[in-house]
Amino acid sequence: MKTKIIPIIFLLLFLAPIPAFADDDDDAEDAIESLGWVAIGAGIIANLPFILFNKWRKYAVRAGGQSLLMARQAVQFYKPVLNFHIILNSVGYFTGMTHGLLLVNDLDSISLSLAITMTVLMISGILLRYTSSRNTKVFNRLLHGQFGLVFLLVALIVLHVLVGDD
Amino acid sequence: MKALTLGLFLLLTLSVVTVPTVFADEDEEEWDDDEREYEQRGLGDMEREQDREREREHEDDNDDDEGLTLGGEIPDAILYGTIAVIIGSIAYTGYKIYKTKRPKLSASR
Repeated sequence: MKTKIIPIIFLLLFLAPIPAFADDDDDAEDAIESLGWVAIGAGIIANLPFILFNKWRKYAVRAGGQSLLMARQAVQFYKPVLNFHIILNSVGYFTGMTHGLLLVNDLDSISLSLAITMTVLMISGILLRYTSSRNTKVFNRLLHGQFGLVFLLVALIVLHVLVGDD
Repeated sequence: MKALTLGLFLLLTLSVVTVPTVFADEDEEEWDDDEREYEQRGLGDMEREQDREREREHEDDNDDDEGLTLGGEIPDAILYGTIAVIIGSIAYTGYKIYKTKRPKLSASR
């Protein structure tokens, strides 16, 4: 059952950017702009549940008692939630980068800053997941969860949307 | 399972990379449309080139109207600020690891 669900979810994610092109309008810029919204949507769906799940787990472990038992039972869901986080963030990253590359003529400092921040977070995430070196893992775990970087990313996305709409 | 994960990741990358091909033919179509229009108007090669040059200049003028392009004071500050925050985060992470490892070394002596 599990092995059937994974390809179905993957196919759905694979089709996610297509609505951006479903518009029968000749204006390609609208479609490229929609790619940016797909990237933002994927980012929100990928990160909010993952952050909430981790925060709840930490809180439950600290609280002890019944909550601790629930947190222990929730351990089995960690891997699927993590995979969901990785896949959707990859979709968001590559969609966002495609959006940026197609609109490279209108490159501004906010877009460039956003691209740099996204790349730093993406690289630290990949290293955190796929490296076997303990030191690299520890370093990237701390870097990937830095509040400053997350705040910077959100601020740049908001600025990018506001400036892009002008 | 690891091979499957890597395979999925590769497929995902390829799927997104292929998206730009959707727009690859656009310029060619635009060029063909222009050619048809010029033929209808009976313009020669020289006039066509002058017309295209005018269009390019017009596009450049539009580019100058952008609000926050590279090179301004505030946009540059945002870019430098971003770079500073990233370097700061990396340095802070390194410092945090150094600080947590150091007492252990002194305690073992």
